[in-house]
Amino acid sequence: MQAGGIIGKYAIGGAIGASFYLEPTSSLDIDIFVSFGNMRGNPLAPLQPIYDYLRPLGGEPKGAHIFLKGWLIQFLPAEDALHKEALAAAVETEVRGVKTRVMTAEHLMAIALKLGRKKDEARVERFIEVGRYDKDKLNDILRRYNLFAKWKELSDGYMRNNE
Amino acid sequence: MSDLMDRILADKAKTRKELAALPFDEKLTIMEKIRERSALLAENSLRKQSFPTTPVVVVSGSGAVASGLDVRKKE
Repeated sequence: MQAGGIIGKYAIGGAIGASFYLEPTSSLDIDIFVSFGNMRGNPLAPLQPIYDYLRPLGGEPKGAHIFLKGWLIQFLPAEDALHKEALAAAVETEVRGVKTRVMTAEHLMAIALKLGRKKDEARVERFIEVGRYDKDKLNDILRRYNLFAKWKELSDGYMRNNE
Repeated sequence: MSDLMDRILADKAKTRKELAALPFDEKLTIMEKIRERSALLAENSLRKQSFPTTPVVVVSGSGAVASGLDVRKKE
């Protein structure tokens, strides 16, 4: 899709993105963050070219998702600076022989902190527990996006509860 | 917390770390199985059970507000 100009930069985020670094988990859908800048198609219906591309491949639109090969996929715009940076910094990897891009652990943690729902905080705690992230990189992102206070509160709480 | 519970929790944390270290392809296989199990559980009658809600009047200060939530009386 990227090569065909259907989407710009993209990266897997959310729970499935986190599961590249954490234990496998149950998730309703796969969140794929996409840059809609410089893409062809109607700016009022930016997802339409994606749906048009995936429909002949078996993709079936279901509300805000598209159902493809047994997975519900949601394409989400990378609108704010943090998400745009997460797309730019995403790492290329291979899943069952197919190349794809996934957000870094540090960006997934920062985005989860920014969202701040209970499930996002739980995800950050799992990152802390497993320890699969670069502390310096994370601190840099958190300071630049004013998320350090949230991080400190959550990580201190985690440490207190797991002493 | 009891020593037994501490050990159980430590063991769970160890398992999570071991699972986190698996190659993603293996994790994907596990996630697909989890999803199949979730679909089966979703078919269970307990999941489909609906719980009745009681209409309520919440009294707050000088005003009263009708709501569809549980019966509560506010100071």
